[in-house]
Amino acid sequence: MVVPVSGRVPDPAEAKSAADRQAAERALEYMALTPQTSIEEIAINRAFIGSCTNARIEDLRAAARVVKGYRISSSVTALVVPGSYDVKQEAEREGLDRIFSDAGFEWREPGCSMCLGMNPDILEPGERCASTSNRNFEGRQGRGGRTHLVSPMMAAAAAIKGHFTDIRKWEFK
Amino acid sequence: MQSFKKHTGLVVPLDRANVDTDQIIPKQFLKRIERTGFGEFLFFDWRYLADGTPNPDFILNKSYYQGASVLVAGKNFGCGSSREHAPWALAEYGFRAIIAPSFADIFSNNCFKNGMLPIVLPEVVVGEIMQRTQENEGYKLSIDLEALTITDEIGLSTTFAVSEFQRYCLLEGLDDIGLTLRHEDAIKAYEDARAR
Repeated sequence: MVVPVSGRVPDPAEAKSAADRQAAERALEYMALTPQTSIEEIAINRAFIGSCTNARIEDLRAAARVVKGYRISSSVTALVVPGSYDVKQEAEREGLDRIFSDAGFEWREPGCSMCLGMNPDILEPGERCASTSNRNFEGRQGRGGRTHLVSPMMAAAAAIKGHFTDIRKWEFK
Repeated sequence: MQSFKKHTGLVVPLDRANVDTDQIIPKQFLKRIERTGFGEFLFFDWRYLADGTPNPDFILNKSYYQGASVLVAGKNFGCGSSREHAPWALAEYGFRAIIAPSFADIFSNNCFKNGMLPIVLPEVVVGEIMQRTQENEGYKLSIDLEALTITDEIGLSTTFAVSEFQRYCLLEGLDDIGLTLRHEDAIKAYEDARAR
């Protein structure tokens, strides 16, 4: 399901077919979401900025712009995983790693990390994550893990606020 | 690669649409260097409970579906990650053919290159087969890739389409390596001529 941050969790009753409604009901049940909930009210436990999809130097620069001057919410654990060793080195030359770690993000070595939970970077069952990865199938980030796919800037903003928020209204420092 | 010409086998209905490859073979098992060893992890999160014991409610665990070799599923089967481990797991578990209203493109190609036949049938026919499977214990289908027909013992008879080249390769048991090795003599002659 794709929803704008300014929108609400869809209602399965409005699905076009019985099969679609069943799938939507299953999705909401797995993700522990109630229809019509405002997206900006959904709180997160984890934020993951990384994966081949969204961890280029441009992505890290954009996320750092959001993060600069802020600290992450006390209810969130957040990681930044550069997409490659070259990206990591360039990011460190530009001081982006300091911006992230000063804000409370973990600054990591390049790797798959929480994109697909094949290593210790994994969600506990029920944890909700704002993730810049490319797939959020059930269990992808860990069995029972609840993954919302967002852009690097949106993941950074959600980590700071503790819930999803509209980056277009962000106060950059 | 195993060829596929004709097959008659027990059918099991997986009445779900959009079955993605993360469900078929979860990521934590993608650590082997062989193509084997994935069958026991097929549909892992559905087949087993959190304590590791088989989930009695999952269709593949029902006693009357043991030994099934034909899987019938909902549309868009095999979507998501392109992992070739997905058809490897399905084939090792014992499936020779999968029937669905539609398949994800990469998954479908991966099946052909691993000796498995993905069959596209209209949604209404898939529904009919699922119903027959549920109503008739021991329900089997006979699939003929040469004649492009599917029949059962109680009157169902339908045809299906497969692209000509893919059909040829599957009938002959040829994956990409097999196709290349048909030119083995020419390859060896070239290598000998180039050797120092």
